[in-house]
Amino acid sequence: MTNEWAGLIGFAAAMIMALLRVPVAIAMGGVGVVGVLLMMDWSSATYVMANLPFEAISPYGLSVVPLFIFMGVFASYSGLSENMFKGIVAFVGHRPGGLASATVGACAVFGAISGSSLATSATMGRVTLPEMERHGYAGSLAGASVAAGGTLGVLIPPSILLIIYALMTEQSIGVLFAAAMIPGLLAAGLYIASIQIQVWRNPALGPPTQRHSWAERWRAFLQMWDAMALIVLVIGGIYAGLFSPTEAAAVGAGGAILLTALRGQLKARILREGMLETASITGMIFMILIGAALFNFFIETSGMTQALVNWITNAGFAPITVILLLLVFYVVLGCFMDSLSMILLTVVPAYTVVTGLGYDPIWFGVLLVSVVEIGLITPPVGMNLFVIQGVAPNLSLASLSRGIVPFVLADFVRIALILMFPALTLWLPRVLALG
Amino acid sequence: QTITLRMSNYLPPMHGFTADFMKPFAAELESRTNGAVKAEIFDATTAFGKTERQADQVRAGVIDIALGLNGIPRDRFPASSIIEMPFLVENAGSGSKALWTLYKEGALGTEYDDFHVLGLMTHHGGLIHTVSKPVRTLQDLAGLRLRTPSPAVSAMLEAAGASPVGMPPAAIYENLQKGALDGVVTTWDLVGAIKINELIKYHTDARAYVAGFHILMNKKSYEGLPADVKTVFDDMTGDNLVAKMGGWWDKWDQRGREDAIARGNEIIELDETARNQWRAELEPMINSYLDGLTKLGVEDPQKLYARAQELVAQFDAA
Amino acid sequence: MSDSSNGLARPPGNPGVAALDAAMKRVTSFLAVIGMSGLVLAIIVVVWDIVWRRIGGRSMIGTVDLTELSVVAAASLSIPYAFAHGRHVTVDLLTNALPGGATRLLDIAAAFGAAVLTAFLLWLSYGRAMEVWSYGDVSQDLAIPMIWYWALLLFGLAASVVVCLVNLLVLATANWRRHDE
Ligand code: NA
Ligand code: NA
Repeated sequence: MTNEWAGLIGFAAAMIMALLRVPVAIAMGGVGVVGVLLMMDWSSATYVMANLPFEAISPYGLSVVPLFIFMGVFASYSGLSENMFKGIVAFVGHRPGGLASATVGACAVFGAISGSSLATSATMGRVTLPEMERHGYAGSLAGASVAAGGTLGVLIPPSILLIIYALMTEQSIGVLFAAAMIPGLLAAGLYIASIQIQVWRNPALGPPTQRHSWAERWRAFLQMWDAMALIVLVIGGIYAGLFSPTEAAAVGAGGAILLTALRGQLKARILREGMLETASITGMIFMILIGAALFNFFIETSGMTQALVNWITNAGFAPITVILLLLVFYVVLGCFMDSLSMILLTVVPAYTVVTGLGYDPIWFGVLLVSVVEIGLITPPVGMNLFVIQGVAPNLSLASLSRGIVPFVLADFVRIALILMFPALTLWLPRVLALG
Repeated sequence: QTITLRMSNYLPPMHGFTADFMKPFAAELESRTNGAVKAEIFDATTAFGKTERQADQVRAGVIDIALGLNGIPRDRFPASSIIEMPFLVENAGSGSKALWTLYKEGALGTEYDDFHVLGLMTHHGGLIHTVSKPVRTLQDLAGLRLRTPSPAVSAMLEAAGASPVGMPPAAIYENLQKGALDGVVTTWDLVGAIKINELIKYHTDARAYVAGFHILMNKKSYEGLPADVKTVFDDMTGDNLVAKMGGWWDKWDQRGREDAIARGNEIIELDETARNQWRAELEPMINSYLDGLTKLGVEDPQKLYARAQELVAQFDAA
Repeated sequence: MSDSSNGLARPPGNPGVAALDAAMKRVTSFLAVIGMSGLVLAIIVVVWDIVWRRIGGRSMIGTVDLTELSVVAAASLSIPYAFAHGRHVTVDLLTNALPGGATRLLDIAAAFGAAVLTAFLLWLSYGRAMEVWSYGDVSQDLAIPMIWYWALLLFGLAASVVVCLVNLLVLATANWRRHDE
């Protein structure tokens, strides 16, 4: 048996183990360890794997994950997010599905800052799911809106995936950021359209609240001041150059604690509960990162991804078939692999061939980053779905999986549009005269 | 029976480390040994492409040959760090030869004893690249937030009143774009690779510092080579490898520099008088850095520094 | 927040085991609070750095090193908490279709697998940590000994091994009959 087949078998094994109630992190890590030990000599295998858990939890860029979760948890304990939602309800609550649509918008903004799908789903899930539930929204629609919304941040700049693509293929980060802007907004728009279609077909999914008068709206808006102040501080600070996007997470978390204190809510009990809740989400995500690192090393060692990309690119297919097969490949791979590892393992051969076929490297970068994120929400295994489940344990994965389907369809529509209309990516960089 | 050597470096596959060194090296090795030796190359996209592990994975025997940075993890090669002192090396060719000669003379002590050393290298003297504030004198550095490549440069920047900021290369672009950084202290090579000429307007060609690199081989892998292969191998490494480094850096730096000129960026040339003056003003910082090296086990840092100056001058003149 | 929402269902079993389980939960909660306090320190350091560079015109070198240290602490010390409280994500798609006995066996197997994997990772990380220690590696800016970073990970993994073993014990000694009725 060749290593490539071992890779495929390992992929299936991890999926089966996860379906048999093995925690996802343990399934990925276990398959990763066993698989690598079977394929590689003991000393090399243990040497590399000995570094993986540490490297999975120590990078500076990852600091946004626990810090933003911290912010989200305390925003919720302090009543910030409740006030924020009162404002949102006053303005859009009377529209069917209005809260879910507003949540997608909020995910886009938050994701744009954090640049991390996991941080966005975890934080926004913690903040918005209880509120949507309180207003009678179906858990499947609410959870799926956040899981899908979580993928937006990677496309809307700044984005670490676009940076990695740029570094590995020597493209301009600035041009890629500009090129991803319209597809990112398009993605958010299509998610909202998908929500509207769902509630139009089944109003019980996202029931409207009563309509609010402008006086009530104005009052609700004023009550949002502290939440707005926090948002303005975090986003404004980044754009004013006061702090870097990574530092923004610490500023946001500090601001949330400060506002909790100002509202007289910073009691020892709340502090402890907030910390424990942050810890449970943080521990869950970082254990998945460790499992994913081991699994990714196994996939890398098997050479499966490279072999598949080589097969797709060398089989003599028509250029558009090559692109479509690559897209299918990334969506399937995305079930278990994290987006960053997928890009690292495959970007060079895929880039070389795609640009060799005459496609634009910037266009392909945006397409690639769009498509690797879909794997995060495709049922039954998708990281964002797991994170939502971790944040809202009463929501079953079965109903979440049902709820996510319309959003995955929205993604396919977006990918088709980017494929058919390269101007969606290439127009903005040209107008901004970048490059 | 073919021998397969595993070679690694920590940069993306399109960089010269892979394209101009490792791939041609592997090809030449294969043809000169009539196919007896092949090489497998690992770059930043693989599990063997971590910056901080290049030397360790050679020592562990997981990788046979690796190209790594002397300064990461820091303090692993303290004697070699002498070559990174401010305003010592201007040119990659003489910097590499000087560092290599120090090694051959035994002046670097025991720090490479675990390895078969194939070559040591420095890049061309690095520049100060700024977004909106041109740096014409040492005083202009005061108050600037600059990304630093190494502890030695951090010390130099602090001495000049600037704020050194450590961050990975992937974070540079957006920090410059957002104004969280005023500039970067680095090579033209990195400027070209991460395309920051789109944001940078001024380049102060101070040739202020260099970083040291090592190309190391596992001792057992080397000793296990058949005698005829060893002969070819010895001919392709050491002096002959080090001789190529100046030309490589000319090529690797070219893109960033030409792109800056094409964009009409201002390149501020620092003449020898100014460099001497900067160096003199940084004398206390240099001395305290050298004193610090004693604690890291370097026997006579002042003597080593003097010898390094001598060698650099000698190779510059050649 | 419900402890048995996913992962381990914990029907009452042997009182000694129940006491051990309760003690382990208290210890992991304590560790989690320490880890999160590290996060609070990171917040203070970063905010201080931002304020200081605007007012003082200089920045603290080493904010990155300290942030990394606190994130390693937060991650390492919260992983055992998530194990102890059954918060590691488990896919529940097939659960309802399976008979109770099968679910129980699967959960015991999963807890055993988690114990073995975390123990193996602990052993691997311990070896590498000793290497890092012997080289005297330090962080890039502040020269903080890297062994501190590694010690946090080792501690978190060791605690996770203990937690997984207790989980296994709880599942194996649980009074399942009463639970199934
Ligand atoms: Na983003
Ligand atoms: Na998936």
